[in-house]
Amino acid sequence: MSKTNPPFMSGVPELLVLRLLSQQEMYGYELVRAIRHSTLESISLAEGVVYPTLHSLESRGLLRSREASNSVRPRVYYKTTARGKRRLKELLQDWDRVSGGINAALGELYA
Amino acid sequence: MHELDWQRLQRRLLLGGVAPRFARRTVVELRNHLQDLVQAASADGAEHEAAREQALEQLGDEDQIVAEALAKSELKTWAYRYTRSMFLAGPVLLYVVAVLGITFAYTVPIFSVMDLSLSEPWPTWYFWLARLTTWFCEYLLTPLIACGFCVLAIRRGVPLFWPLLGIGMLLFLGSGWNSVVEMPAGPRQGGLSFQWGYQFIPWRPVQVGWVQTLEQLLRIAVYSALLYGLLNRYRPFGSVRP
Repeated sequence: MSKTNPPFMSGVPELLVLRLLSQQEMYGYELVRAIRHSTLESISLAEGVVYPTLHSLESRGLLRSREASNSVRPRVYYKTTARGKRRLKELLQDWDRVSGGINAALGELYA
Repeated sequence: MHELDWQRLQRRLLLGGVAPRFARRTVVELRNHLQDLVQAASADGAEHEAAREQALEQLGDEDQIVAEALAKSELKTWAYRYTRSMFLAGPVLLYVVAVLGITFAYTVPIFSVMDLSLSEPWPTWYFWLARLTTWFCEYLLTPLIACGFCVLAIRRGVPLFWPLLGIGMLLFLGSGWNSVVEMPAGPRQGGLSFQWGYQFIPWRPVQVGWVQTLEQLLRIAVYSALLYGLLNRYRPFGSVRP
């Protein structure tokens, strides 16, 4: 029997955050800008909710953070860890599987 | 214009069980994020008030942020995630470990280093240390641990049933506990023993006498009164609820 999908559906922010932070180290504000830019502004979120997500990923060992105080304000930079990259790979496989299924279903509907 | 009350936000996170380091960091990072948003809006030509209003809207309101943080169990403290184990078994385990640790720490090194057939008298300071430590373990350790767990439970917003049950068990154990240390003297070896007991049945001779049992019950009453006072008066976050 195939896997159920609720964890995947709630894992979209996780997927985006891990993906963007695997490319480049960023702090929260930069990350939100990057999400908006990379999703062509199609994902609009209350920006403050990104921090609980970042902290949660960090406490699970998927991200690591470092504080930098050389800018105007102290910043906390985040980057995806090796474990986070493995998790990202899993999420991407899930994404392919589910989006492939949805596309197939929509293809039948609109054919 | 709606404003974010940073202190209240942090308290709500703490009361909801979020670990203090994450609660503190959330507030610091949100404040910086808000300043960045205001700066960006001002750079786009908005007036200061309008820029701040727009920034606050983009950041989201307090309820959204709190709900998001509380939904993530990994951000919560161990005490909040494992309330039953922590508050039910914690006080008793901590008491036993503390009593054994303290007693062994001041007896075993001395007993093992000193010559057991020592005929010279022991230094006075060591007798005082032994007496003070025994007194501390018998009378002060129990209320200290009980108060510590009460404060922890209140600060973490943990429902009080399990902490109170755990503390009740601690009071029962702690008020009936005695550590007996015998110093080595001459040919007699030193000894260390732990006793625990109550006597509720007067016609059966057991090791603990009635006077001692009354004293133990008095200790339970005093400890309970202390905790009652603490629970009534200690309100770290006023009326704020997560």
